[in-house]
Amino acid sequence: MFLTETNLLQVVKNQYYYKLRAYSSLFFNMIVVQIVALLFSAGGVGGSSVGSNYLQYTVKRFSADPIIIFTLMWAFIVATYFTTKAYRNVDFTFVSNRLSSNFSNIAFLVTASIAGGVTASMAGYLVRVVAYLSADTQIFASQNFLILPQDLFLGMFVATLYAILVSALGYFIGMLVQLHRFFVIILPTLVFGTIILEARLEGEPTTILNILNFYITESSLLIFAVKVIVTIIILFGTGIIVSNRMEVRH
Amino acid sequence: MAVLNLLAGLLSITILIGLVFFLRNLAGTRHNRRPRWFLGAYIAVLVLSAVIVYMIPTENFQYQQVVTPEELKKAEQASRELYDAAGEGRLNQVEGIYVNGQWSFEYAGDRLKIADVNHTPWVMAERKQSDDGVVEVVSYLTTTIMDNINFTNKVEPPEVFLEGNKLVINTADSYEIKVIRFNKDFTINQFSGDNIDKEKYSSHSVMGHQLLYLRIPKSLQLDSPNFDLQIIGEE
Repeated sequence: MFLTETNLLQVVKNQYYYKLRAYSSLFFNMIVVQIVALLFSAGGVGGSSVGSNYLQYTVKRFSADPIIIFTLMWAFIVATYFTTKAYRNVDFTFVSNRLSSNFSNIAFLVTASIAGGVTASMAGYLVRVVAYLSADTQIFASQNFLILPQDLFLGMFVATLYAILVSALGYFIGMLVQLHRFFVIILPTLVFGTIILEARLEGEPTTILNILNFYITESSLLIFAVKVIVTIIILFGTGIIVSNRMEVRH
Repeated sequence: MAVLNLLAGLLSITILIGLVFFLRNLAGTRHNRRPRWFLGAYIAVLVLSAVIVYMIPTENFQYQQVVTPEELKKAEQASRELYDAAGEGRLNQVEGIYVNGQWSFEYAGDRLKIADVNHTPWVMAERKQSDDGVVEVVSYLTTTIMDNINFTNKVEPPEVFLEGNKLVINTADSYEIKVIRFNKDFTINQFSGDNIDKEKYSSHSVMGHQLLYLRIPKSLQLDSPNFDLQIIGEE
């Protein structure tokens, strides 16, 4: 089969639309995951209590953080799911090659990440409504109750970037595992082994923390976006290379 | 401690792995075309809740004024100084010490028992120059700040009344304040400069103290079997 470049784009587009229709149930799962996270956080995500003979003071804090974290996990699982053999075989019913399959997958994952990032950030409103309605005679601090529009859009953008990052990681890991079952054992061993070893030797899992901090402590939006996008390109790119090797093997 | 941390870590990892499997099963179920209106309905719910949030009357959220560092310093100072100031007769001169109750009783007896209900308050007494047969009680209070919010007006004064030869001090039950606060999501905090740690560490509370100051006739004898009562100028 011969595909010119314009044809490739067309094929990717067709596959992408097909996937959106065929896997719309994944979005349903995302809603379930977000609602479960909402229930988890219904009691507040943090709190403290101090008191004296005269006064007992309890504070409960709410945010959409648990919903965002759960959504990121969902994005990770969806990405690994797209690398499984059962799923990949579906693509052969199409006029396609590895590249078009990969590109349409990535397009789908980006779409899913946007949906996840946008809804998880908007769920902050739902958290506030639930907290407000479920409280009895409690006092509300007005600070951060209203989400400023610029904060909402910032949150959506950042949550989407995180979701794409996590799904790129999921896609990469999924591909490695598909390349060789060996990685099912070696990857967790490597990750948890490092965590436990460093926690014992240095008191905390330095490597993992450094990797996490590389993204989560970056306070410049531009630099954060660049870091994430570069990582995404590397992870997806390596994923594609790995999947091409797989084709040779099969 | 380290073992506990490790256990907590292992537990969360187990929960995480469990969740991964749960989600995987979810994702693995039929890829049928589930009604897409679900996504639409969900987004509609989210948009609706945004509208509701903007409709909730925030005038009810009265405890939003946060104290300044100066107020905080004064409150700490007052809390520290209350007892000494009472002994030195400076109660009315220290900023951040308030009167939240005043009583006056005519009492002809020569012995007065002081009884407390609930918890023991700080009590200090001063003898007057003469035997005028009047026991005066003033309740003093210092500023109470919780999480940078001034709650002094929420602290209730004790009930004080004369019952035969007994002066009863019924301290109010501790007032319960439950506050709900909202945090910015971590995705916003990361770039807004006021990250959660800073907010947490800059949260200050000053426990207010309450003190009852008695002015008694010159030769009245006080008994307080349950607690120490200092009479100014005496042992």
